[in-house]
Amino acid sequence: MKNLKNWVGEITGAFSATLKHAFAERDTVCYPAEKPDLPERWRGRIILTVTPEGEERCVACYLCSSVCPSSAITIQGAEREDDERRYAEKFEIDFTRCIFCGLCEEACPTRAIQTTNDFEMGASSRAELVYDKSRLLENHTGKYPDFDYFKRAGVPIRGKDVGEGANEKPPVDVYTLLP
Amino acid sequence: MMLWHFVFWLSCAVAVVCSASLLFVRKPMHGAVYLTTAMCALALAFYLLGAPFIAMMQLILYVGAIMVLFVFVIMLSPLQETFPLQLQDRSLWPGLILLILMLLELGALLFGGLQVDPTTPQIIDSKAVGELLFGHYKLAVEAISTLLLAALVGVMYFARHLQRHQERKLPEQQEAK
Amino acid sequence: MSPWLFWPLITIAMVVVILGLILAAGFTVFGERRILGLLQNRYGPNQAGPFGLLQAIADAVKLLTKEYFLPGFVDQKLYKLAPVLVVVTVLLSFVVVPIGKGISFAADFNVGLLFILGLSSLHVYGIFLGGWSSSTKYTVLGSIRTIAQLISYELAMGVALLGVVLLSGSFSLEDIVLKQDIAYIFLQPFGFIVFFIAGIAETNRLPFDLPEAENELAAGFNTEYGGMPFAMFFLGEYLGIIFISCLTTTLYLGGWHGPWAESYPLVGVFWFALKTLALLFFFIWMRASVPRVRWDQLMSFGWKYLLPLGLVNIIATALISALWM
Repeated sequence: MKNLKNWVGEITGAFSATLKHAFAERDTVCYPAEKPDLPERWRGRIILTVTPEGEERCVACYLCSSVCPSSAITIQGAEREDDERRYAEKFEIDFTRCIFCGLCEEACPTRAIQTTNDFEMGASSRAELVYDKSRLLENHTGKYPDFDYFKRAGVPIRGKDVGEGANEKPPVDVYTLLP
Repeated sequence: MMLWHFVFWLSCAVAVVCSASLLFVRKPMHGAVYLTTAMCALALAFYLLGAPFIAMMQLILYVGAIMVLFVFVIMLSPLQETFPLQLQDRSLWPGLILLILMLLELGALLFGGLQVDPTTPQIIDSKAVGELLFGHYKLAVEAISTLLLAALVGVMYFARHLQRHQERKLPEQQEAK
Repeated sequence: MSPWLFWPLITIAMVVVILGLILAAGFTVFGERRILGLLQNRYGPNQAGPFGLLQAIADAVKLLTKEYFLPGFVDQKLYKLAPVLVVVTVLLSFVVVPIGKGISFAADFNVGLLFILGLSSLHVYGIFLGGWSSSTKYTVLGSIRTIAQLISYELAMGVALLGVVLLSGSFSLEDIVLKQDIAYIFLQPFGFIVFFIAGIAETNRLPFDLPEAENELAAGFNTEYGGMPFAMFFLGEYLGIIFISCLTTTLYLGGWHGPWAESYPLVGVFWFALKTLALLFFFIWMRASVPRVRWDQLMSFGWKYLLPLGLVNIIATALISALWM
């Protein structure tokens, strides 16, 4: 008899619980009509950014393509004629393979490759999902508006010799330190 | 009406053809399906002969209970094992003799002036069947139900006995391994 | 009426009713998705048409235009037969249900109730032949479960129905409805419970949907089906739900009885539809609320509780009717 009471209690409890949820607030979002509010650090479509001066940040170091777990990034590096600064001649991300792990962004020393909070990348063919450099490169600085790698690194380029960067001391002549 | 004649003889033909094809099928499940179809056709024939209760019992009991158990056994048995009929086998003879006797009886019935007229049936409804079962055939019904009860108790006893037996055997087997 | 007028009219009526039932089944699917959404803090399909009403038609078109795929390892004849059997048996069962005063095909069929039981056993053939002929582990397991469920619950269902037959003294559904001045749910509460639980098990719905048990058996008996044959299984399932709701209404909730139903048959149809829709809602509500039972629990519940309860119900009904009537 006690069992029966338990059973009836459990079943009516279950039914009333679901009925209560009929009047609760909806948890789902009507997506295309109502855009979700995604955080800035969302790992969505990958872009290539430029420095505040408008030069490409990417120096074709291959770190992103080597760290990529699904081998989605293909890079062909080259050097500029005038100042010998490296750049990516060819930069392709195959988004059919990309798993949006964000490791490329973490690996990038020049903060060129960045993830955005855009995820609406539907395409009607696989070939469309292989983004080449013209589709990846965007004319803004992304999440780091002031960052310029060459201003901080001890690499000589045009207009800046070693030791002339921001927060940088002139190089030490190691021979003067000898006893 | 012509239509009911047609339906009646059609269902009879279906029943005969399905029963005959039962002898020639390769897969046991196909045989079961043929038998089921024969049962359904038979139910229709019963209905047209004026016995709705028996017709529905044919459906519920034979199709819904007995054939289902057949099918259950077929499903749980291995597919490849088939046993071709050995005509040399002497234990087959009593069955064959019975079969011939039944065919003779059937022939005698068919040619001895059997009246089958589905147009003007004498309708035997469920009430009449019930009155006969619990009036005239009361003893037989009671005897059969007692027999079934005995079978039920027997099966329960065997099941429990077998279970206990296996439980006792299980630790020994594990030790042996 | 002359037969030359009678048969064409009957054919037209049958086509209309079948199309209507198929539409009703489609909208039951839609309604189920919306109500499940409602009960689970979701929206459900609300994009196609007003309130998503055209979703049922969109689904139907999608399923109809899919490729008809025949796997190489199946038993072809039975594989093709099974979905047809499922749909045809349920559609045939609707013939004996009276939806209003004198509105039905053959509600005065003198063994209507037994006819329904016989067809429901044929319906199960469709399900397990589908599973068996697909010859995959999951489908065969689903089929075996179907049979086990059938033999545990068909008996309880029949026993529960006997209470109604004892009270009304007839197997014909029309007579049963006509005799229900008081709905039989008040005279036969235990019979109602047994019948309804067995009915849920018959339609393979949660909490008794062991034959298809999505998270144990992929999709159970219809794992290997796709496109149109799958649509037919789907249709059979939802028609089955509608049918069990109609039957419960007819047998226990007083059928088309209600205010003004005697004088205006169409009002009776309204009451019938209302009761059936309430039961359909209950089916869906149950799906949202109750978890699936284990299959040994299902068997032991059927044999140890449901069948004895049904038997006690019959004996009590017989005693009371013998003493009072």
